[in-house]
Amino acid sequence: MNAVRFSVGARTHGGGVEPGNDIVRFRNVGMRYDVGPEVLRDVSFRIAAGSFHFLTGPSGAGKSSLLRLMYLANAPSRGEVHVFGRETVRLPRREIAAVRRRIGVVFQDFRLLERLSARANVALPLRIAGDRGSAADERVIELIRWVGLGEFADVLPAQLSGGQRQRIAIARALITRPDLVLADEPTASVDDRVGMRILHLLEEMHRSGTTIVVATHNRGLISRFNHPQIRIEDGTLVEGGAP
Amino acid sequence: MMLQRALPNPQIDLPLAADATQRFLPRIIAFMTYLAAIALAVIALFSAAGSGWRESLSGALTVEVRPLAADAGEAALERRTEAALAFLRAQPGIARAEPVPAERLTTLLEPWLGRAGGVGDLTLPRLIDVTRGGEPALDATALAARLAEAVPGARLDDHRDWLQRLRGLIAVMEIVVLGVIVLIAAATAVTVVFTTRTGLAIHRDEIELLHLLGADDSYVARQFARQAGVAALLGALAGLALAAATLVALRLVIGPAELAILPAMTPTLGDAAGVVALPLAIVAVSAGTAHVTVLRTLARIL
Repeated sequence: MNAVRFSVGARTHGGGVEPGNDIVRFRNVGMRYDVGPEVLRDVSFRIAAGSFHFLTGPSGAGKSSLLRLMYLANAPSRGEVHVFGRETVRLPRREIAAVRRRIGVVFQDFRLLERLSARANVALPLRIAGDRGSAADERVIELIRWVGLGEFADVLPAQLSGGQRQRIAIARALITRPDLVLADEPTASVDDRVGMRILHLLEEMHRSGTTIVVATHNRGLISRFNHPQIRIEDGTLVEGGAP
Repeated sequence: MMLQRALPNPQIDLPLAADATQRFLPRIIAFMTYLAAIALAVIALFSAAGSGWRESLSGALTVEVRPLAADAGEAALERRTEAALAFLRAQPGIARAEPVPAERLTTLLEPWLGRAGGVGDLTLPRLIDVTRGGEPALDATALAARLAEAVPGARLDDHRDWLQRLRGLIAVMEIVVLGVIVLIAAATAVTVVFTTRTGLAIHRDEIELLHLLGADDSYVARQFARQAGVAALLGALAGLALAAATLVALRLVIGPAELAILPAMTPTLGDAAGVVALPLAIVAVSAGTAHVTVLRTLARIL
């Protein structure tokens, strides 16, 4: 699958975080949806720039909620969430979009736009960033080949298998060469062989300096990589993530 | 829909064109455009009529010489008419004074008295057409007083009161029609607001995804604005074509007698500009309304 090398050198945006500095920092964070119970309680941890972390825990532990705070889909109900050194609740609406453009997200349910081809889905973050033209098109094709789906560039998501859709979602998350990649159960809908391929793709991105956080409950896959874990159970941090 | 497919499609991520409300929007806008175009045509007609009547009557006066009880038949009336003509022609500021021929008087009265001889038994007042001209300028009020004194039964009408009332009536009608156009624009904007809000509800998940991928509200708003603009352009062109067909049909249906009371309607550069401006204005109102609606709604719900 990795026969085609994807150039992950220069990023499209400035203001990167120096390696070793905190790219994400949670301090006594609590979170609830509307008026429901707290799904996260007193969570504190740091993620250094350039690191690769697994976010683990049983289903329903709060992994996805924690990721949603990181990609600014929700605000904490208490405590502080800092991303790229900025406290997220203090960000003006316009700057939230700019911060999100520095984050690549792989959603558990892929969230591809069904009306657009695989190529157009991958190109979507580039269009949003205003990066168009032939160079951008070439990068899209290069990345689709890199995830091993070169011959499927022009098909609609409905014509792809679960694993293929997941790889297109990964390509979309990586196309802008983000500083931070957050993957929510990227191996949940694929078998172990494809799951390993997906993690190797993320590993390759990490080697180029991208900070990666992968939420998964697949301990078998985690054990094959030597990366630190942040473990969460019942909304509370129980292991890792240097507070 | 052909035009919609032909237009460049640089940045449409949301399948807005497939929404039922978006298919319905061009039809509503076509109807609104039709009403607005007819209203504008009415304004143009009023304006042209007012100008035409003003131009044709502003330099004209009419003198009426009425039959008197003391007149011994038509001959006495004719003598007083001749006296009035002589008086008028001797006045400075009058370029021309001519009696209205009896046949023309009969023709003017035919719609009320009929063609079959009723007029012949009546002693009709005589009319004199007077045209202003030369120096010094004519003082119509003073002339009317002198004329009444010099020729019993002669009365000068300078049409000023009538023109004043006509001008007022036309101004009121123009304001009413402009009000109708404003209401049509408001109704169009409300329709676009409704359609846009429905689209935001339908595509909420996709819009949330665009936001999570880094799109700001303007990015989403531009997509809705473009879709509303395309729908408005299609609707406006259709409405304009229907209005043009209606006006042509009216022109064919209205008889020559009715047309005779209206001034000649020769399209001016202003009329042509109005025809071009109407669809552009509707596109601008629709696209602008959609854009603002998206920005306001997103700021409130997301």
